[in-house]
Amino acid sequence: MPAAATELLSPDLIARLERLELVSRQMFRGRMKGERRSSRKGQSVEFADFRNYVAGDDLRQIDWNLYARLDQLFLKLFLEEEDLHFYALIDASESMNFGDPTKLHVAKQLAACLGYVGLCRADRVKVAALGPTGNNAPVMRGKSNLWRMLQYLDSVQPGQNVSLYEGVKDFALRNSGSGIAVLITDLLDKAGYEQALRMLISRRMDVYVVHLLAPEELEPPLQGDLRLVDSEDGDLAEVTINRVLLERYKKTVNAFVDTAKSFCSRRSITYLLARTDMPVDEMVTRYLRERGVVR
Amino acid sequence: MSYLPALQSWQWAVLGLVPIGIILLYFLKLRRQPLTVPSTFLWSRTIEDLHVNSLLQRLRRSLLLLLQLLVVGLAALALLRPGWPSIDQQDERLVMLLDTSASMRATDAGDDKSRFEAARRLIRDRIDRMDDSDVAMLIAFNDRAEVLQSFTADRNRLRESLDRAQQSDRPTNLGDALKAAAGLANPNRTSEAGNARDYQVADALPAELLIYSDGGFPNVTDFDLGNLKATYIPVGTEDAANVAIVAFSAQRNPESPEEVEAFARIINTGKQPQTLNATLLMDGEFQDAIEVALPPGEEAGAPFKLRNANAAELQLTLDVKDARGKALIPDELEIDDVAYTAIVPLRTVSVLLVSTGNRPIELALNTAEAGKVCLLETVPPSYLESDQYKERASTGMDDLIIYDRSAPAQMPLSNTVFIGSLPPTDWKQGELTSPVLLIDIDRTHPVMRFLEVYALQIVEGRPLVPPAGSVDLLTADSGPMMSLAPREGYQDLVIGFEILSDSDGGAVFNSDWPVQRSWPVFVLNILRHLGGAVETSSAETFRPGETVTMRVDNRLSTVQLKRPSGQVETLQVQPGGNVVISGTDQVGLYSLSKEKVALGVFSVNLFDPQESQLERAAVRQIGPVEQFDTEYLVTETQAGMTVAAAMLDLDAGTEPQITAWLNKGVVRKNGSAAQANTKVRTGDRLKVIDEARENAILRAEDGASDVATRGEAWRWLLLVAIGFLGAEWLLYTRRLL
Repeated sequence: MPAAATELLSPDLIARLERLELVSRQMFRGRMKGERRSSRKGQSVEFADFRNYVAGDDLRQIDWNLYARLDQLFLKLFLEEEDLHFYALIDASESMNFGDPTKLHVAKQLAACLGYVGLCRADRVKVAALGPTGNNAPVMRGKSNLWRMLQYLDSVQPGQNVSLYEGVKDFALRNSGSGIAVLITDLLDKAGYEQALRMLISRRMDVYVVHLLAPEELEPPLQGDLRLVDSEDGDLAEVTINRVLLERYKKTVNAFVDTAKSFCSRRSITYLLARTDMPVDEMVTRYLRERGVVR
Repeated sequence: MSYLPALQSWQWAVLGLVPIGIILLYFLKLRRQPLTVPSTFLWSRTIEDLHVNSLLQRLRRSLLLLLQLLVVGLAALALLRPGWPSIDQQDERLVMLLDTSASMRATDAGDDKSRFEAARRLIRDRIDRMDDSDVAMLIAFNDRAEVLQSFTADRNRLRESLDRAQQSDRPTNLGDALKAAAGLANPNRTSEAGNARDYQVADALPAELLIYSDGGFPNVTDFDLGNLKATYIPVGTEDAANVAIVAFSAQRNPESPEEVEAFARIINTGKQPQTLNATLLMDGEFQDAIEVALPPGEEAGAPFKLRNANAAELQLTLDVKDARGKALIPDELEIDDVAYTAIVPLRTVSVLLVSTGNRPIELALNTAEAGKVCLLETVPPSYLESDQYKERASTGMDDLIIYDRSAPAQMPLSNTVFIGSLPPTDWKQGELTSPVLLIDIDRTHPVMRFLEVYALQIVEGRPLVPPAGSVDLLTADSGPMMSLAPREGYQDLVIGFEILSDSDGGAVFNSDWPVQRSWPVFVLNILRHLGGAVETSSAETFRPGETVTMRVDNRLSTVQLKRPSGQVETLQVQPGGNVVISGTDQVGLYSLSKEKVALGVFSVNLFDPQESQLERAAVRQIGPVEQFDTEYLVTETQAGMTVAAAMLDLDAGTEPQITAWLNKGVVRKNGSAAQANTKVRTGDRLKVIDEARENAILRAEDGASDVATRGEAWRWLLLVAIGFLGAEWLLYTRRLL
């Protein structure tokens, strides 16, 4: 396994991920038969519904027990098993290149974990960074493609200063299928995140937002008179950090988080706030599991 | 409101830059540290909220600026020292005089160890009774005054200064202490605009003078107390008993030098007759004892005969206590019960006479008296060219060199006498005059003591033009004829006329002085004063505290001094062989030596009947008589004198004071106004009335006196400034945290 692989996924974590499974709250119509339930009624062993017999239907579908009772001909309908499309979208903007470990690194780890879980279940997995580099992201199926996924993730560099909306819009145009979309981002987009999320919802995707923030962003260890420079657009903010301002900042952060949470919950988006100082294996095996992202 | 700026103009200019600097700093853009953050998204939102309160922020910054400017402003105002006329209730200004003389050692002070301790206790009590508005000063006095503490309201400082006061063995002189008290009670004051240490011009302030003493000082009549109200607080008892040695000396019998006679004078100052023993020790060993009977108030002599050919130290002790320390007779003062003297080796002086032959001088130098102290060597003037002379002149081997009608090329390291010749430097002479008529003689000078020379006949002489600093001892109509001039520690006596003059027929008299009685006396005076001869065998005695000058061989550079305590120290010998010894407060024998060779000895004894007179005076007189309301009775001594002369004789005051009183018309004779030239008779009563002073005394007793002072606000301004500084600090730290 390449060195990058062990940085993102340790052998121990890989072993634990193999026992997990991605959870989708909706039934999707996939292109191939997988291990997923699909709303399309087809030929499978799982009974779904009855309908009246019309000329030309398959006689083998007729429920003869029901005919015996009701003296009418009815056909049994069965759920067709379909595979899941899993998309992990990584915000690779410059703001994600912050912290130790960086938010981007943690995002890659999360994406790798979730992607591997999907690969183990023969889901169709695509892990992509928002922006132009996302175009090169491979679509993978099966555990054997783990290395391709990791290789791609290793190639993702920060500085893709594309707004969330543009990135998501580009993804949506290139990927017509629906499925599970996990957006791993810090949501620190001055243009806002709402349009991006709405776009994902409009694709009838099962959207998960992992709001990734570094501890230094939640509780900044700053003091004094500072000129803050935005890493993405070079915007300046002159502040005099004191106790009062820090308290205000924390309130602003909390309000921001609450607003995002509220927006997501109203739109059936699963919102998860994660800190980069939380170990990834714990984040996946416990935190995401508790919130129903994996099982 | 008035101001007393504490700063100079340029300092005010510097202070003025401070608020300008503060304001400028506030308007300068803050230097901020740049810091890259992931996004300013949330920070911008945070600051936006604050912008709503920007007014408060601006106000908060302005508040800091305001507080800082206020602090600077208040400090500047404090430095201007604004003030206003005010009145201070000042109850008392005390000047306390503490007697530290020898008589204060007397032990008749009840529970206190001595009169001195009793006086200290009384002063301590007085200090304890002081109010916060009272001020006091403390002066210790004996024969000189020492200001222990100047005016202060701090009672602790007064107590500390009282503890520092020390008993001495000196006699008493109140005059210096009174002058110090009067001067410090009302120091001169000046007023100078812009002077931070300015004091306003003020009149002399009244003060109460408290004299804690046993009264062992003479009446002080030549001192005007002015605004000082004197109160005498006596210590000791009125009937203290004391016996004292007031004189003690020893002399060799000139006929038999190995026989020594010691003589002491002992007084009984008490009211009871006393009989006691006086014991004489020589070099610490018992020699003799004598019983002395002393009626009250009387004195008696105590003679002793000893045999001693050498120098010896003598100590006379009055046996007032037995060996166990039990008192044999009542005696309250111990210090005058012991006296010291010494038999000294005679100090002879070596005299070199340079002359072609001068019989009168040689005869005078060889009299019995002169012969006792003088080792004479006569040489001709040609000797001055010899190496021997040059060596003895450059080393100061001789105590005195007399140049008779001769002069050396260089002055020697000795005192000199020039007769009819001049020293080679600094001296000049006028034209020869004949005859020389003497018109003035300085009788006060030791060289001219006991001389009667007005009838002196001098044929011819040259008036002298001596160098600066000289003293003219004989002055003739043509100018000074005998002068004494100092020369780097030595002295040169120059006589402008010859005693013997050279002529074709031989030496002839130029003056009849040699046949006058004053001639050998003059020569002896020269030996004593210029030669340093000591013809007495008894050591000189001095009072405690006196500075003593002893004469030793002028070739010595240092000598060792041994004090009565046994302490030995090295002293420098000054040019001329003089050794100055100070710090002679301790009674006893002081000896000078060099490498164990005795050079001289002197004793320090109290020998003060006034100090030994322990009877505490009930009334002392300071200043003009009327302070104590004394009336003077004219006795036969003053009968026939004028009022002024009689008052002076009666010690009523100084001559200028008496004249002033008579001019003011405040002198009363038998109750009526007296004139200056009015004669007095036996039995007349003289009195001086001073209404102004009597009124002044009444005023001083009225109680608290208002004193004009200056109220100042700088302390309060400074306090408020510190308060604002604290508030500014508080606000700033809250802003930071």
